[in-house]
Amino acid sequence: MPVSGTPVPEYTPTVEDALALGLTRAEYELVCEKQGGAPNQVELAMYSLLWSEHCAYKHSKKLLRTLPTEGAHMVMGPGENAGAVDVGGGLVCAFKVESHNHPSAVEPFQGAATGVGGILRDIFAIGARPIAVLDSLRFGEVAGAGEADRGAQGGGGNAATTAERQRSPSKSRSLYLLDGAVSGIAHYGNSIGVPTVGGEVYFEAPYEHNCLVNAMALGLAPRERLVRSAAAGPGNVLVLFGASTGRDGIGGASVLASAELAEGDDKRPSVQVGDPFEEKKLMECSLELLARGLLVSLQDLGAAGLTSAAAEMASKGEVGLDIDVLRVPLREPGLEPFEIMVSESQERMLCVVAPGDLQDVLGLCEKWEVNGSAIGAVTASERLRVFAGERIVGDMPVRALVDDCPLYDLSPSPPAVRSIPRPRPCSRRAPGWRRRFWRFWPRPISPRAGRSSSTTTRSCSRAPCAGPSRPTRPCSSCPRPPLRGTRRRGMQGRGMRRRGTRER
Amino acid sequence: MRFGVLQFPGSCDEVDALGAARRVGDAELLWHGERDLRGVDAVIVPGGFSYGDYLRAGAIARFAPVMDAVIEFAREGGLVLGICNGFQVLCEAHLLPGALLPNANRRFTFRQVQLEVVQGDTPFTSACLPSATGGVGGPQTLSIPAKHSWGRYYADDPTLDRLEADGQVVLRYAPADNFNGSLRDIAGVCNAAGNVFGLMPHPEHAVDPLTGSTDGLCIFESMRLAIEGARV
Repeated sequence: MPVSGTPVPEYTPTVEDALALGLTRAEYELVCEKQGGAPNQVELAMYSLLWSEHCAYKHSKKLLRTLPTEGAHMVMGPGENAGAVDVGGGLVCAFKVESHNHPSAVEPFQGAATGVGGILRDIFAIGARPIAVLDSLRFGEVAGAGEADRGAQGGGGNAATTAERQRSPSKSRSLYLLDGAVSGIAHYGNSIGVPTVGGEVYFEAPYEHNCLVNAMALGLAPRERLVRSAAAGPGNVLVLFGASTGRDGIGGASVLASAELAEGDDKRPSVQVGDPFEEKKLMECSLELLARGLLVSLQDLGAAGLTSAAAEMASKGEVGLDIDVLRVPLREPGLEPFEIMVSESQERMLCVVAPGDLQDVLGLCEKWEVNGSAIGAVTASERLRVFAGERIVGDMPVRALVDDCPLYDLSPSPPAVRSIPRPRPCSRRAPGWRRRFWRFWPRPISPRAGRSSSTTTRSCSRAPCAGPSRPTRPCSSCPRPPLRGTRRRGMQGRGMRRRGTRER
Repeated sequence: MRFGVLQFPGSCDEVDALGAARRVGDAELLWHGERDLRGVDAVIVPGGFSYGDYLRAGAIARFAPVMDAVIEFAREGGLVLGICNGFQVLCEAHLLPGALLPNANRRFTFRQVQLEVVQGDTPFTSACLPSATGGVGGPQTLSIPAKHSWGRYYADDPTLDRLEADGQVVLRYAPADNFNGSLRDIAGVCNAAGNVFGLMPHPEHAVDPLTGSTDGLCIFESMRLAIEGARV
């Protein structure tokens, strides 16, 4: 049942508000240019999310574009909710992996659970039924005194465990993150009936302050059930279905996913809360809508909620969208328009429906008890317009929101303090003058560099240098001296041969 | 022979139950909101997380409109099979005695278990007894996967004594396989009249050689024999 948003006095945000939302000064000025004036609260909130690192990949997109995107069996490539390949027999396998690191570092159970929820939605958003979940995890060291920790997990608190925790609070925190993340993944996947079939986990000190939680999902679909996310057909209806919209997760993309982790506690309201039962109903409803051919396009709501789903659908379809936030089913009264647009409440989908199919779509949503609501329409304007009833509260060009986000080049530099120790030198002998010389002088490239020989081996017997080498390249962590008697024939190629190597 | 497989919001294993039943007869889904069983010969209450296991597993499904029809069907002697969450629903509906508690190991566990057929004289296990060539004495064991976190069968001692005396204990876990701590290793029980049967492991996942065991098929086969035998 839609609840009216209370009217709010008009407030024009300043550049300070923009900075607080994660935009730079230059980006704010670019927004003003695109808008033809200072953006209002709704518009600034939407730009700050869509131009955040998480949504726009502004520091990595240039690099990502260098990766291959074509293949003989590829059915759906980059740009859609998930990738899909033909596996024969008229079937397509869809899969995707996504990180949910920062929410998991703040609230591991819900962070990991909603990571699984999000990746499952991406799979059925293209029309595939999820059949498996996997995860790739990294945490800080958890086993200081292994037995004491296992004893603690078994439910007994004992002196050794307490002492261990006092000595290393970081290990307790890593254990807490591990337990929470694993429980969250299990809880969400099992409740929907999708098994977690595999994964990997590593424990190393550098991950202590920045754990990694990557969730992957796999799905199967008959090829004809696949659907894309581009909005199309001016006059078509925009339907939102799934859970109602609340205040959970507001700012998750701009505040949490895109920011550096400092003290995590005050970011807890930005962590989304998941309900796998709601998602199970959502999944069955989505797949049945697609099986019955009732949808023009489908998109799941993830980071940045309605803002990113609507903007991306419009951008891909090169159309505009009008959205009335008063038609969005709300979980609590009094949400302001910008809150409704940026809420990251989970388990919601957005679809485009031909007007003639609207009643059937809403009927199916009612059957599955998933709150279907017509909240807007597709237009030809290429603008994303947000209304609160009759009142327009936001008006942005779609291209500016999605395509015109500035992209940056990375300029990496070594950290001031190394977080992991420098590897030990490979040579067992005390460095002689040759080693000192080559440590501080770049190695010349022999004319024969680049021609790899199958017998070429590194001169050093310690890992990671040991073993047959790939095309000759200096080992960056090891100042290897040239071998005796080889200088005349060029450093790189001959210097690698093990023949004539003296045992070190 | 027509099976009806219930479908609640949150049911996961109704699809495999449908598939297993279709290997021995016809089968269709019965929506939770409708009180009509459409004249099926047997009802299967499938596994999953009906209503998200909110409140207690099966506690809300027990009140679904379709369950009114199932309770009446059972009272008139119709065959009802409850698997995993279905077993929980039947206990909540008091069609079966006892209750299912959290696993003793406090974890969701998914593993293959060996089940001893203790009572072969039911419409659900008549086809599960050792054949003349296969049996080597002792109860037949079925290799069936189990996957649950609330599967510890519990009833008070007088009830358990009565169940054992009356032959209502149908399946027991093999000694090494009782990971959930069910009392007296009970894996499946039937009601006094013998027409309602519940078990925690999933026979519908053991009907195709592809998944390693076809031992679950005998339960559906037994039901078919019971219905078609009654018609003769």
